[in-house]
Amino acid sequence: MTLGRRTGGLLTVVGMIVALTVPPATADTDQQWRTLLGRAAHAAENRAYIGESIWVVHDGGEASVSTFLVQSSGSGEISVADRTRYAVRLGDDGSALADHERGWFLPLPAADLSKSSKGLDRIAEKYDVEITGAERLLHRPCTRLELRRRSDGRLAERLWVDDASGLLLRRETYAGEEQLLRMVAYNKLDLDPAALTRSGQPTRPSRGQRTSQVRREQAVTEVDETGRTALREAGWLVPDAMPAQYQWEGAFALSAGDTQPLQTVYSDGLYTVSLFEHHGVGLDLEALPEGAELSDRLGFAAWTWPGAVPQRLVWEAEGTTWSLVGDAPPDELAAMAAQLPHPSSDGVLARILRGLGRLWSWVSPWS
Amino acid sequence: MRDACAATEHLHSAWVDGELRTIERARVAAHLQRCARCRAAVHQLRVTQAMLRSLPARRMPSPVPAPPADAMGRPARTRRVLARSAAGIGAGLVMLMAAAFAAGSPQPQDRQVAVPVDIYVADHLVRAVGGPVSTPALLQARP
Repeated sequence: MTLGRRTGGLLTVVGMIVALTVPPATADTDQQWRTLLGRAAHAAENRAYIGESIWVVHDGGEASVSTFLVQSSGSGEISVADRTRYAVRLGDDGSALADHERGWFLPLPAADLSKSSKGLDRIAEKYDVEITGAERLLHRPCTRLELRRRSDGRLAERLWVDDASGLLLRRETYAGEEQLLRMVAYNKLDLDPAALTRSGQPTRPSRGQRTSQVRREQAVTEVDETGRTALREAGWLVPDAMPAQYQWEGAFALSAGDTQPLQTVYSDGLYTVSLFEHHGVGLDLEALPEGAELSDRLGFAAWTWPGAVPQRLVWEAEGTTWSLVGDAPPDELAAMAAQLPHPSSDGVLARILRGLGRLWSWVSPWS
Repeated sequence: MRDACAATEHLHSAWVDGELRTIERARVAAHLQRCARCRAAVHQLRVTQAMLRSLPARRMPSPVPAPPADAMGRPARTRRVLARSAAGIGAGLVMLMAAAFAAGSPQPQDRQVAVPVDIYVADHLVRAVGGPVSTPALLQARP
């Protein structure tokens, strides 16, 4: 008995020593990916560089390609200029190239990580992050990471972080191993932009403006907890959270032209989605941006912009026009839309019953 | 434009009959404003419909001679009265259902809501990314 106790005590002590001296590999990995992503987010805005980035967005059988000149001063000012925009339409006999203008809004590589760096814990809650090895991109050594959804192990992201500068060189977004949603990568990168300036190249693209500069022209009021309660009492929905672990980030009462929508922002740490509630229905279709298509893939009629980044969905239900804007995978956006009010199926029977009610209200002296 | 035409062509008949739901009606209206070819097609449809309406009503064929009393011994006249009553009730119900179906159409919207999707996207990116985004469309979308 005594021997057993002693052996047990010894084992406990040895175990504690091992635990203290050899930290678990998972904790080490956890720290490594946090450092890499934090560094990437910081470098995107605080490192001076000039580069050309390429975007490839897949939507069904169609892929669109855009290239951008990206220039960072190293002090938080980043300008972006369109180089070319074209769409690749894949046909049965191969691929064909066509000029195409869509007016998409494209965030920079790693720019959204600068926000998510505040939510690394949230990323860890939903995703397994793994450092999958060392590689070379643009003749530069870099580290590759993979993010997979914990719930089903589905591949969500592959990231390549430059070892020297910390910049994110390439980012691939997936909805599973076989389905690449979009890819953004630098195909040219110069980390000594001063040399380019001296050589006479333009230091600033002709077209480029931070949205934050334009944003100040609008009246925006952040909604606090008290305001949120008041809004709900006034008939706004303002959900606390969204499906797929998207948590509340904030709500903003906007004044855009003659409209007064409410924006509520949700994030899972990696992707961000905004819900816009706009009281009133009767969409002015002339005012919808180019490329809108009416789709029923959500199970009800909604306007979509295939291939656009971020994705947008607009529909009308219960006296409100709902808009979802975000870079979440399509299945997660669809789950959010399904949770929100949406048009009920207006079958023949429902229409006849509604008509009978109306007819009765017209002839009944008690109505 | 051909894609846009194909997307709305199947709605022309319902457009002429005024049977489209609000969202479809607006979609067809927007297209017709831009497309002379489809405007002409719709016009042709209206003309055809008007011609059909102007045709004289077709007379019903002469009634089939009534058979003698049936096996239960009811006289042919009683059977005719019953049949006519049933047909009348049936026709009434059909008309009521048709009227209810027509009255039950979604309420037309008087107001046009301009949802500034481009501005929403910019608002979203400010919150999600922090700003560095630029396209000419964004600049045009802003007042």
